Amino acid sequence: MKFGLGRLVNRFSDILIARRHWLSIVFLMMTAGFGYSATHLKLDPGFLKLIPVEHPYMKTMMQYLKNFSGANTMLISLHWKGKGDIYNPEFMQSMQQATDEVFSIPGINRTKVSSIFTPDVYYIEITEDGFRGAPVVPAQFDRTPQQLEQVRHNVENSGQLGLLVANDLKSALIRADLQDYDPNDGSKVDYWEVQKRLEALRARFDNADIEVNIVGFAQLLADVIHGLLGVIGFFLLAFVITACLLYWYTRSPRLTFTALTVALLPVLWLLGTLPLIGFGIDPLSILVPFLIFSIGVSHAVQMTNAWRNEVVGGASAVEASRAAFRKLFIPGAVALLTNALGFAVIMFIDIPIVRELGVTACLGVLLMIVTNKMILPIILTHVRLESSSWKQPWRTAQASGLTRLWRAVGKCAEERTALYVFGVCLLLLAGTSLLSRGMVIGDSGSGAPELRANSRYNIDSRAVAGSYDIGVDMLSVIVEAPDFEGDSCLHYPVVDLIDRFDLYMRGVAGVRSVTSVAGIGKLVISAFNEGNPRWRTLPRSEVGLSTGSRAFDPGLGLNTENCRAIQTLIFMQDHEGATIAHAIAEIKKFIAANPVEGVTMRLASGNVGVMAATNEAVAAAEVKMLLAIFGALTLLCFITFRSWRAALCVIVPLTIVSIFCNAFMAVLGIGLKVATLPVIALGVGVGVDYGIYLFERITHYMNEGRSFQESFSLAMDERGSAAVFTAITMSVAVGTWILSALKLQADMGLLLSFMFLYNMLGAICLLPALGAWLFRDGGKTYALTAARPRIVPSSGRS
Amino acid sequence: MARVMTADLEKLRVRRQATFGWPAIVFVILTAAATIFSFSPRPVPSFPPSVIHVDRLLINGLAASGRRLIAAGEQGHILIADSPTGPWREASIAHPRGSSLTQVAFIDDKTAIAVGHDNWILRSDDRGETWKEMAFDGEQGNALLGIAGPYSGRLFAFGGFGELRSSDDQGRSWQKISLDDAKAAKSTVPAKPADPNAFPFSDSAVSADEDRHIYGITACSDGSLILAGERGLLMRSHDNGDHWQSLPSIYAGSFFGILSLKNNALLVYGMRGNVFRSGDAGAHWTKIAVPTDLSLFGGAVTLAGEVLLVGDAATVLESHDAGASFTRVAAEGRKAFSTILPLDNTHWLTGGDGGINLIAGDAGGAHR
Repeated sequence: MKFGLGRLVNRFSDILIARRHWLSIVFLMMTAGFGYSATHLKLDPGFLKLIPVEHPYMKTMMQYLKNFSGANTMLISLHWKGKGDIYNPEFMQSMQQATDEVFSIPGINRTKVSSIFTPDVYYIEITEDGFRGAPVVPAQFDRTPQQLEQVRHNVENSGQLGLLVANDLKSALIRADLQDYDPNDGSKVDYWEVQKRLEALRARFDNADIEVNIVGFAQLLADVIHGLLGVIGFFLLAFVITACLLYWYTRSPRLTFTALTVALLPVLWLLGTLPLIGFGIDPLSILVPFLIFSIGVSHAVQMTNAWRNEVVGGASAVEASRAAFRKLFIPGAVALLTNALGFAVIMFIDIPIVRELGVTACLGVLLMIVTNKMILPIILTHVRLESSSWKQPWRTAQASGLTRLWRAVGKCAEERTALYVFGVCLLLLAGTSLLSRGMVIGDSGSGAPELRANSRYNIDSRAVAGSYDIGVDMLSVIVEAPDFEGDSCLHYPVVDLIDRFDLYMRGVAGVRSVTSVAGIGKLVISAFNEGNPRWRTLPRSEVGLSTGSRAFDPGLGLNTENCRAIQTLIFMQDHEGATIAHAIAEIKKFIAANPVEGVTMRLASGNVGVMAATNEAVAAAEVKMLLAIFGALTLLCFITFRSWRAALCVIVPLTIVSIFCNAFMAVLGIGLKVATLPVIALGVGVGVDYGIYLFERITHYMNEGRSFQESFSLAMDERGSAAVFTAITMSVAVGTWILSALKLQADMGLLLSFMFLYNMLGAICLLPALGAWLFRDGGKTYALTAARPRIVPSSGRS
Repeated sequence: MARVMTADLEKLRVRRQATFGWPAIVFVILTAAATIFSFSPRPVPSFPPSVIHVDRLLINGLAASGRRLIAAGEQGHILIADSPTGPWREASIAHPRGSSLTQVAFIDDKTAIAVGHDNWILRSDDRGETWKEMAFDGEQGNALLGIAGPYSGRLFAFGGFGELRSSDDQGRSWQKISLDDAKAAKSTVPAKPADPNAFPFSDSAVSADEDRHIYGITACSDGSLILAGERGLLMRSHDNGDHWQSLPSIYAGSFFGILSLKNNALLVYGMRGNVFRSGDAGAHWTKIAVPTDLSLFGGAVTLAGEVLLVGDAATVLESHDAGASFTRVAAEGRKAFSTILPLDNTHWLTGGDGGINLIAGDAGGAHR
């Protein structure tokens, strides 16, 4: 097999070169086909894609999605910036019109729109003769001063201060639920249309005196989509930077053009494949083309570099292609396979959007094996190297600084210098491992985690959170009481449990307020006793509880018909990972300590419920994913090099850089979340390339009986510059994401950029240091233990 | 064959020479250790333990004895503290029932009584540290809404639907008193079940012949007792509570409390800012104009003789002329106050929907 693989590669290279014209036509047709298919590519953000659907919390949420709004609530706040408070004709008119507009937004659940202008919001006045109650705003509302005073009075008696009207009387709110499917005709709601309507609403009512703040998933999604469109700009930027770097590196317009074209091919193929397998583009998977492009460039550079070396050595373009293919097919394919592996383990994360990221990226690199390893050699057979670029810049005198740098790097392979390298690395390792303990799971920061802190959405959400008692961070616990006779809410054990839970949660750190049927029921019961707070309690009898039955109306959205399921809303002060984890842990404690027969309390819904599930899924996936990627890479290195020492040389630097990355995240306050969890897997999967390309050459030279140091130095000469170049190119390309309006992309770009650079540094500094001490006898033992000719196609040269 | 042997020999020789150095091995082991350390489950930041927050539960009753403060309220929780600024901690209750407590009072330096819904009566003889149950009826029990006394050694607990109980042994045992004068056909149902299909807050004034809630009892300077309650209920007893006679109606709405002032004066207060004052122990009443139309749920008289009333939406009214006129004291928030406890001339403690609040009387500001 060992001989066989080398021969197979040679045979294959011969076929590839001989049939290159036919193959060109085939590839051209495939490209055209994928290009056509790519035009059908759709944006596919969606609420359900972002949640770990298999998580028990999310199963609870999905089960009751029809009854309870879950997390898809929209808040539109009109803020009066002028003099006085909201009780003026202009504001009231805008508020009324805005409420009417919201009703007409597609996908809005019209039964659940609330503002002071909707008939479900009424005031109650307790008089000597009993109750007096009516909608807060009278039906015939002409905004006369008397009527405005009437509304002010009604609002105070409606209990809506802090809910639909801001505490400082400067804003008022429209609350609405959006459904994924339009309740009227059952069609899937077009979020793009929703956001256009919201934008129109904002444009219409936003003026010198009124500010419109919109929060909610639909608006968030809209802002995310806008951010996505900005990404195309970064792609162009990355493309230009890469092109410049490539030209500087090759000094050949033709090679630059070739490499760029070949790097773009897998992107096109991938974009063409996605519609065929029913995938769309979402905030995470839009990053894959960048990644594929930069990986494509890096492999193209290796290939063109090898090809040019052959050409400079006197071979014809065709022969040079054949030789480059033979030399690079195995390490290249192995490197791409490890990339694919890195992306595949991301699928351990049980969140559809991340799974799709994994699938998309995996597919992309697999396609690259075809485009890079087959199409590129074919194209290269047609290229004539410009005389200007026969000399690579760093081989000329002007690049002597670079040569000196290479020498210095080469010193890392000396045993003495290696000790210093170890020392420095250990110091860094000690510091970073301590720092990395501070990394948090979930978000650290406030507002929508997808967007930057100063984005309009997060400014809006802070404005809403600051003016009203209800927060935007809501966790809901669902209490199931299916087997009670009649209305479950009229059974004391059920409502008492909810009441106790309500009070308990009010005492949990990080909780801002709690809304439950028990709390509202007590208010209603007290209202029947002239509003006296001493009556604000739950009677034990069914008859007594029925006094509060107004609170158990399913229309309030807190329970289903007959209280078969009841949700308790817990508004959180923030959604930092630690706060959520604490609240969830405390809820679990309560559930365990308070069993009630026939009643089940289930976590969790609301946006914080989603985050809790996501954080738990991420936490559960982290170690599993790391073990999978490192285990698989170690195995792969071991199979490739037949030496555990070689595997150590490649894997140890990657491990250290992963710890650096965690420490980096802890220092920058970037939490481990959906967007950052794949980073280590991606970074390691891509970063292992450098080690594999280098070590493949090192083993080759050690087989020739040279010492490790000498072999490393030769390998660096041959592939080092290409490795450094590709690391820089890729870092710059993903680094452009830092400019993204989406915080998740910015975080990911920053971390990936960091991973790529440091993995390269690890490969050229720590790898030789380890090798120097692990291969003290040079190639001798290597040749003996690994013995027979390697799978490396070196035999093709002799 | 010979070649193989040579190779084997060489292999042995090479092995003996230590083909790989310990620094690399140590480095690898340290890296492995650091990795395990770095990726092992991370420490969870510590959070304050989950306890009842004094500003997040309904407090209906406040009492003081010396430095000891007691607050009682929602779900039968009793909090105690030795300073108005806290810290507050939960007292130990022998049988927590979960019924809301409505009032707490010290009857001497050490003994305190708390009453609540479901006829729940608790007694503590160690300044509120521990509480024992004196009465509870989870099935038929009426709500007890307050405590009064001791008047001539007799304590009263009173509440919903004409519930009145007395104790002659410092609150250990309680006897039911019937308001014989006010009797009419007793309703067998404590509350009317609401019709779920009706307008949710349609007029639901209960029929007039039902027993009315008693919200307050106080002793006049002539030794007679006077009680006030729902829908204008006012009654007097000349035999320390054994028998009661109705007083002429002065107001159709409900009274939520009654205070005894110096110089034979009485003050009764209730819903929608209704306050009536009598200068002759209840024979004649005058309506007092107060700067609010919100309901008043609690009141107290300070040592200096100032009258304080509290109610809905953080209403605090203060009178420096024995209840003849009131000014409104600004207090933060919109939550209802149900009770007020004067601490000294400048500081008051309020209890209500927003828990316990410390109010600096003269400064007029509220702080927790």
